[in-house]
Amino acid sequence: MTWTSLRIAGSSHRDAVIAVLFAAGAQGVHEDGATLVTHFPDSLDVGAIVGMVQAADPSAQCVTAPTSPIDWSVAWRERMRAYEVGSLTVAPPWLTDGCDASRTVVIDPGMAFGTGDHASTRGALRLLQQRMRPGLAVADLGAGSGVLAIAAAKLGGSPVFAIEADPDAMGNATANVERNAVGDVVHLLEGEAKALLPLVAPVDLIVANIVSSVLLELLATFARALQPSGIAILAGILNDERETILDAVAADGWRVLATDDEEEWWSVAIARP
Amino acid sequence: MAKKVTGFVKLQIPAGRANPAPPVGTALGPQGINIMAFCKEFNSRTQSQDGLILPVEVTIFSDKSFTFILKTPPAAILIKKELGLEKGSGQPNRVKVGSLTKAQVRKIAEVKMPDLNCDSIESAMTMVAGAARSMGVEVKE
Repeated sequence: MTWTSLRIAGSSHRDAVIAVLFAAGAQGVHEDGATLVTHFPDSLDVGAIVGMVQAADPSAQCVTAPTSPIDWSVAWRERMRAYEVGSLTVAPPWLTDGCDASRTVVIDPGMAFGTGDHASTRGALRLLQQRMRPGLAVADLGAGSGVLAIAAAKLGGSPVFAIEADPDAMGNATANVERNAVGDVVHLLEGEAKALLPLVAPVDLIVANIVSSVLLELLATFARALQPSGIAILAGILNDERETILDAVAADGWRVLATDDEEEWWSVAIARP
Repeated sequence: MAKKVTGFVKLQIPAGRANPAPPVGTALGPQGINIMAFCKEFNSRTQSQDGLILPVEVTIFSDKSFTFILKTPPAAILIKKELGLEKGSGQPNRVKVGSLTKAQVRKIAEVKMPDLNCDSIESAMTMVAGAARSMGVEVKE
């Protein structure tokens, strides 16, 4: 099906114009700043629709143009890629052909942070691989898509608790855990880390890709939840927040084990005081 | 969860009927987000409001994950639905196309309340009554 776009600028009766567009068969209207944009299949008389818009709002300036024939139901995938991070690959489902399932974290991009397409995810993942040992109990805080929890499970972690406060992320995380066949190891928990972490403690390793202000608030909770030899991996820290984090962990007696940089993001592995 | 916003898209879509065709696809596709996931989630959350046009604000993050907020339909749409009108009056001061009771105004104000900058249902009702008058709908005392 081919389409024609209709862009409407200068409208002083937006609600009336939008009503005309839907009455004429629009399947949606994009409010692109002050401009209204919609599209009609070429089977409709777009010239007549322009006339209806201008009758409803004489100040409306209408511009029509052919719409590029792109099937966005699949074309959006072209912007996604697989990432090799150490011995693991993080990939969307359609890019996993030929990958070793035991070393591949399959993430379907959706309403949860952690598609693999972000430097802080990869930084946490690199540090996780350095510190992970089979049989360690892990808590992933701000789990998002579940990418780090699934990686921990594939690296031998058990049990792995994935804690996420955003209810919108849970559907995506649940699907990703099932897709990676780690449902017997990864336990998804919806709620605040401060409340839920003590309930799953003690754990051997905490990985938290959150924002630095929240990491600072949670440091004491981390220390209480870890085994004596426990490790925390902190990510989601901008380079210019590094000194603040280092000062805070030093003040609380944590020991820095390793750090990671990618783009403007910095991650750190620290040993319990 | 080190979220960094890279895009923001405002759309109006019929409840329960989002699909990847234009304009949803053309607006969200270039942002690189999973359009099918958006449509599925939008439709699932809005299917009970069939027949309404719903404003939705989509926020896109740097790793191409996204979230969205549903807004309430414009007051004009709710008024037309309440009265079963096709459209408002072209000459609202002279040609009246219907009338709302105070109870109907309150009902619409209660729906709109979350998106209005009002601290009381009475001030929300005043705004709804104003929208009604501007489209040629009288408000009966």
